[in-house]
Amino acid sequence: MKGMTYLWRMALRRKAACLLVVISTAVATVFMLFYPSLIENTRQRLDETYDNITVTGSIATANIMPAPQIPNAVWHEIQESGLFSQLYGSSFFKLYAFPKELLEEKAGKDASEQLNLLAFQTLLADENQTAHRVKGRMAGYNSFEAADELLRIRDDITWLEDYDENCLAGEERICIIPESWGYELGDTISLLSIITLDKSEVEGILRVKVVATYPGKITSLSAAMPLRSMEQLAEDATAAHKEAGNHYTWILNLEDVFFTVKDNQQLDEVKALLQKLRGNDMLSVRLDDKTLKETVKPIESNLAQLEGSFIFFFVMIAAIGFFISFLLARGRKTEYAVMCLLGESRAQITMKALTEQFVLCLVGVAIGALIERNSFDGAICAVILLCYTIGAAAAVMLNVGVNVMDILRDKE
Amino acid sequence: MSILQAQNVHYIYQSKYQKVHAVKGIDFEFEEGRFYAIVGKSGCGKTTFLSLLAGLDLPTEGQIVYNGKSTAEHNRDDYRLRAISLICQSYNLFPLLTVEENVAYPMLLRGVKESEAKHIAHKKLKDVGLGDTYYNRLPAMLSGGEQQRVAIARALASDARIILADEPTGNLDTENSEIVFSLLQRLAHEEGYCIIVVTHDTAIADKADEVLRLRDGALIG
Repeated sequence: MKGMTYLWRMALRRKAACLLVVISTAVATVFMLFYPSLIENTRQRLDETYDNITVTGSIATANIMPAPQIPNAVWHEIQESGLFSQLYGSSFFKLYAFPKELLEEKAGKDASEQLNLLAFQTLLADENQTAHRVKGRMAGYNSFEAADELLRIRDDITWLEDYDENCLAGEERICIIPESWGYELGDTISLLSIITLDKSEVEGILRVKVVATYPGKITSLSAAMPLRSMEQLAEDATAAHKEAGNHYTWILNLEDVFFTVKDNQQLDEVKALLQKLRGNDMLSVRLDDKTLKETVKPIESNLAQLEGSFIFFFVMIAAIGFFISFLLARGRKTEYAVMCLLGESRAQITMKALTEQFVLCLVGVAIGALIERNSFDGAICAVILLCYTIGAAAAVMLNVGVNVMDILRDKE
Repeated sequence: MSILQAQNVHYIYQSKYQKVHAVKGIDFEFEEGRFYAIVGKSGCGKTTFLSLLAGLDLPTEGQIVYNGKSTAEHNRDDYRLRAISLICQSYNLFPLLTVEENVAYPMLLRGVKESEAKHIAHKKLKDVGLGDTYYNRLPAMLSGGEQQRVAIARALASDARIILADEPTGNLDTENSEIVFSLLQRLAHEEGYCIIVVTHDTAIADKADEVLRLRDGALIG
């Protein structure tokens, strides 16, 4: 463009205006590049807070009931929801057993399974043997961590070879019993299980393999077996009852479910799932999200403010850019009129002024982007550049569009 | 021989409240080597007529003819760049360009190299009586008369043969007015320029080769 060199000289001699454009674009760029990183950092802090706080909860039988009350269907639903990282469930049934010594006395040592079972049934029927019965509770757990009682005796348990704590996650018919019952590891123990269904009790005999024993006696816990195995027993018993022509159904309900929420950001979904269960009076549903709520609430509020303000600041900065450019260009209308008088076309003048403004803004944006290079965003820089340049364009077009003689006469 | 002709030139513009017939049927031929003064009361259409001659606008009716072609047929930007030069009362120099840069500017627009443009600018400045001590001064450092002389030097540097001047001595004292007037007169009579001056100054009008008197947009003598 002819005469551009001199236009540049004029622009550069107008130091204050040049500095104003360069500095304001640089500041605007730094701010607008920094601002999203501020939002991003806050968002990251929020994510970290969500990740670092553990939200747990439980579903428990509401009152002291004779039998577990959490429907097994609920257990399956929460297992399948995928919302939980740790999920512990427990159930139980009452049991009667006999010490091994007594059973051997009746059936003989190394007796067959059938003889053992016969001897067990005989002992059960014999009222004189009532005093020798071992009364207890068979708890079903899906994990060793599901029960404090198990954790307390963890170091004292003797395991059968190839078995360990993980066996509770399986579905084998095995059990952990007290040493005092006299059974060896690997023995099969006969048990009478008593299930409470509504107001009646249903009994059934079952045999399970002893894979672990512990010394002493622990309050409330007699024996433990895998929850899944207990569930299968219920299904098998129900099928056997049906085959025998009676209508009893062994429903495996759960006493407690403890959970840890996998992703705290899915807390709403967790709450929706739990909300369904809250309608059941028999159940007590609890979610320990108070700490999470108290921690994330101020961060979320901060984030919302930052995100809301971003658009406001962006529009404001764009508007300031537009008006700075507009006013600076408007202040040069006599200059443009003289250019016009000297034979420059309006298109040439507009292009020159825009080039000048664009280069100055580019310098400002480049400085800003350099300062805030870690958060560089081309789109933001482009918008700032555009707003400043459009402001100048608007002013130049308005000013070179009027009667040149009028402008020059106004000056007089 | 005429260099510029006004042929039945009319100009009507719509002001805020009314339609104004600013120029009414002016017919005139301007010749090279002559000094013309356009006089008349304020609002009689002098400056409007001058701006039509300068190609800043087109007549509503009639035409301004330069080199056998109407200004409507010319590229008017190019016409202002090459055919005419306009000098105003307030000088209209670029305040942030030095004296030599101001004079060189129109030459750069015509594609002359900067070094050559500056060389010519120095010559033209000397022609108007401004020596090398003025070259690197900014217009604000000059008196009104000196600034007007720079404007005349710029007009001369544009290589146009027609110089239009709108109240060129309006802001000047008598001494400076005399210098500027003499300069314009010399350019017309010695260098063959066609000088057309719009003025209120009767002294200038009296010394012009020809005076165009306007009243209500019409030429009366």
